[in-house]
Amino acid sequence: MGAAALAQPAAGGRPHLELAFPERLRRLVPAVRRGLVFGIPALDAALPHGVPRGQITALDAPLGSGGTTLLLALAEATLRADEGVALVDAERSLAPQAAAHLAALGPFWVVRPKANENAWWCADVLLRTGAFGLVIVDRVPAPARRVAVRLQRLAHDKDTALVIREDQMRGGTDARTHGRTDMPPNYGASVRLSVGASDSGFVPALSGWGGAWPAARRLRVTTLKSGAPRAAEVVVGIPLPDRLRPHWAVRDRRAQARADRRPERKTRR
Amino acid sequence: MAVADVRGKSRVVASDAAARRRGVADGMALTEAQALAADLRALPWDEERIARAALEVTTALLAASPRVAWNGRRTDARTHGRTEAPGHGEGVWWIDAAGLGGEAKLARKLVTIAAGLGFGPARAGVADSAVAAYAATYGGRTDARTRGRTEANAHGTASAGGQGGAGVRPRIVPPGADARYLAPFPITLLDLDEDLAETLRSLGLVTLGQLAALDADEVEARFGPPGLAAHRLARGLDSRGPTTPRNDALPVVEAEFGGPVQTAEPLLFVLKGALASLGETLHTRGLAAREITLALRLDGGGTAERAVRPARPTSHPDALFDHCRLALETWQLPEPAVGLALSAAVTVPASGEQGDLLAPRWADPAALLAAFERIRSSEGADAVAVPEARDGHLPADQGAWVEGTDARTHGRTDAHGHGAADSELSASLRLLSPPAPVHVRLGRSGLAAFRHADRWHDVSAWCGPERLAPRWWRRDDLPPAAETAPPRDYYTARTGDGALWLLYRGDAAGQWFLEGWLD
Repeated sequence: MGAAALAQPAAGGRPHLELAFPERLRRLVPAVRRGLVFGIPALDAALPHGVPRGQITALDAPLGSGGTTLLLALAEATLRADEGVALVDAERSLAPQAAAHLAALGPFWVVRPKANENAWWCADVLLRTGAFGLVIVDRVPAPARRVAVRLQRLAHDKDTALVIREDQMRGGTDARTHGRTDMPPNYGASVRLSVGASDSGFVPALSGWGGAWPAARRLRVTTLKSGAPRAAEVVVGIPLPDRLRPHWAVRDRRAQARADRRPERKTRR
Repeated sequence: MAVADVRGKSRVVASDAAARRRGVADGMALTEAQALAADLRALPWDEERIARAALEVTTALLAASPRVAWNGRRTDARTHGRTEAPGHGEGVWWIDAAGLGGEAKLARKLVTIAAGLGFGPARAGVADSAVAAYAATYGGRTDARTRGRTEANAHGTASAGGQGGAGVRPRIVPPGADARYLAPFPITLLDLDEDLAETLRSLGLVTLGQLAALDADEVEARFGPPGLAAHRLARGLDSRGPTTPRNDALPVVEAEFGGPVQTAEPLLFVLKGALASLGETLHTRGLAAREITLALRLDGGGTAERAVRPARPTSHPDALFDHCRLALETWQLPEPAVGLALSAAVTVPASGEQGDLLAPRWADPAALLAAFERIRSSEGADAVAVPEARDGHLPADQGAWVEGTDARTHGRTDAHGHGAADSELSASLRLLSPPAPVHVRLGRSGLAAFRHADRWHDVSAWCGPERLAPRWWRRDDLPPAAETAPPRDYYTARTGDGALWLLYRGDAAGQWFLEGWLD
């Protein structure tokens, strides 16, 4: 069946032609080109226009605050929208199993440079290809102004969303903050997201004892674009393996069991 | 006019048309030239600047032909400020025109390239031999018989000097007609030694045709090797120009610098242009280079060669350039280089993919692969990877980075992954490789703090231990070191800032390690 089909006659009795586009054709004619979404309702509501294409978005997420989770959620939603994603893992610390599901969704590439400072060059090369809807630079010091300007122009030329997650432990490299540590470096990011954990993610197991059960965490994400900041709360689960028992008395005896079986196996041979 | 010091005396080594009209000539003493035209500016001859400009022209001309050689110009005491080469070498490039099709078109392209570099009134001529091509470039006769010329040994010259006017029509000498074409030209075209030129003039030999008509043995007996060389040139036999034997089976690009190059910068400049030409040739033939031979002709006459192998066959100049640049950086050359040759030693058919009309963002996979290749050449072979989940007990064994081979740039809409559509968000693991040894402080309630990166992290809650043995079920396949690896006791700890850390106690000595954190 073709893309066009005759529909039922309209109310006035006059038949009209209704185009029945396949899904992929429909995506080619967006009424309003929107930014990228996270696929997290609360966060997408706080950022109604999405992560802007052709612009830099900064993510302030301290180590362990859940920034990687948000970036991978953004990557997943982008891949589901049929666009390529490249992630520059400047710290080379992303666990492959954390992002393995993304590789099945579409063109998802991870670039792991030798040195942290080479991440900008890698991002430059990736942006120039024009093949990606989203390029993420993860855990890098804030870029120098001239680097940011070059990348912003590239992102604009290729209509690519560039998301930079700063490594705040390493700090900025110049006087962008004028010596103030309470002020985020300004390098031309059009949107800034700040992430902080508002809940612990642990439930104490026994009173007076440090042992605890892992539990879901609540992240508070503040979006700052223009106007007043908006906040969203995101719940993140803790993916500990089922076998992990949060009690000191539960031991894994499998290694011992294996050692016990070994002589028996030799006997069989 | 340009002035150089020759035998302790300032002499004119180059002059523009205005100066020549007023009687200034190359080789003239500066005082003599100033007597003729006192208002002319005398600029010092800057070999380095000229060499840089010449390299720029050489690189640009590579876009027209894969074999380019700069004739160069040397001023020294023996030549009294004139060129050594018997062809008034200033601003002359020898360009291989063989097998490139329409030579008139090539000549026009050469002139256009030279003009684009700011050399405006450039000229070009095409002939079988370099001397005839030179005569066609600078000679006064017009010979535009261009039809039917497909001679394989043709040479062309493009001049970037200021001797012609803009819009000079390129002259093409018909195949096999070099000697006939050269016959009416004066012997001075050859720029012979002064003594030999004077002798020939006194004998009444004025034109090249008269010299060519003499018997070669008699010329050699009377005038020696210089006379025989002049005789050969007069007959249109010239060995100048790109002289390396051609191998049309392999795409080859050659450039001669015209002088020794000692620093990497000019070499890289020419290399980039040469690779652009080679990449274009490969692309035109539908090939990708699996191996490139980078050969440098050395000043002493030797050749240094190195094979450059990209991780994947490619014809993209940027990717090839990065590999060649890395090869050059680690290359200790015994002598300065005077020429460069690039050949695609091993080629494979280039793979292609048709563009997808319906993909919202589609880019050439070859360009994407080339970008990845650039990153790999700079950051290591494992720098571009795709994550893959694996079966394993230890966190480090549960995934791996694999080198992706599919450079499709549009999505796989039929794929289904877990994620926002079917599950809640879960924290992502980040791993240190290798795990970092840490100091741990134990309190009454277990883990109290650990020290990492010169900072103590106070633990507010923790869980564990979880004892994991590294791949205990596959010990038969593991090396002895893995066989004896002790099991690890894993702990998950929450610190005061809310971060969740993954620690383990791994060896017999009870050393603690930080393996990663949940983010």
